[in-house]
Amino acid sequence: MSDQFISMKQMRENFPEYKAGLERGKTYTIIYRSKPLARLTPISSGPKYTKEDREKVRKLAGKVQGGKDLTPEKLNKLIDESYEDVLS
Amino acid sequence: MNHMKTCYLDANVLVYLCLHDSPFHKKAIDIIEKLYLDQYVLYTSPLALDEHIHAIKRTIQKEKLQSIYPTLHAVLESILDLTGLSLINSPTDLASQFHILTYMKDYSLKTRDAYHLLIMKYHDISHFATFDEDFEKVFADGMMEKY
Repeated sequence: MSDQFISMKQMRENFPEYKAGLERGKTYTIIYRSKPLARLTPISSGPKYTKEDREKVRKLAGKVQGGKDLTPEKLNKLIDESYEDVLS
Repeated sequence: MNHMKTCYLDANVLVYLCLHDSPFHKKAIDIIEKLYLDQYVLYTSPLALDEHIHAIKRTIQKEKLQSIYPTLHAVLESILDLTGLSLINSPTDLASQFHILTYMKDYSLKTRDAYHLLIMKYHDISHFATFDEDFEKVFADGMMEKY
């Protein structure tokens, strides 16, 4: 796949588009003041999580005791309270 | 080359991940383990962390079982230690801020939730892991896929 040439301005203004391109494996050459400045290439085609990464989740989880009756609805209300904290 | 699968973690997934006694605790662990198994790139935002810290703080205050700040520190550390989790933010250009109003109107979202949606759309994220039913219209419309 050949590089796509883009200016710094294009990069700044349309970053999500180029990020998506990088995630699809595209490579870009960045032009600054009419000259090629840098080549932007994706580091990899995706994450490579291991069994250890999955096992780590259980080690990191459950640090707080409680929350027995905290349903998603109650949790939403609790988060809404953070606004009331500031306003009251 | 494959397009990377991306997922944004809502505050409630992070909260239930940390709350040992919650009936949703195991489900939150299962979600994250499955995201790893399916090789998703994981994202959350300072906005979600703000909600997460507030909810955890209130739970600790209510239960009175643990000291607040050391526990909050340990909890935040554990979230940020999740492999491959990146923090992303909302765009700062002026035009994007008006999307918030459109999202609030079209999907009956609260301002805060509209900002979560803006973050996900701006960063081209395909999936959203949440327990929040306020996003049902967003999922029904195909704006995001529920994980």
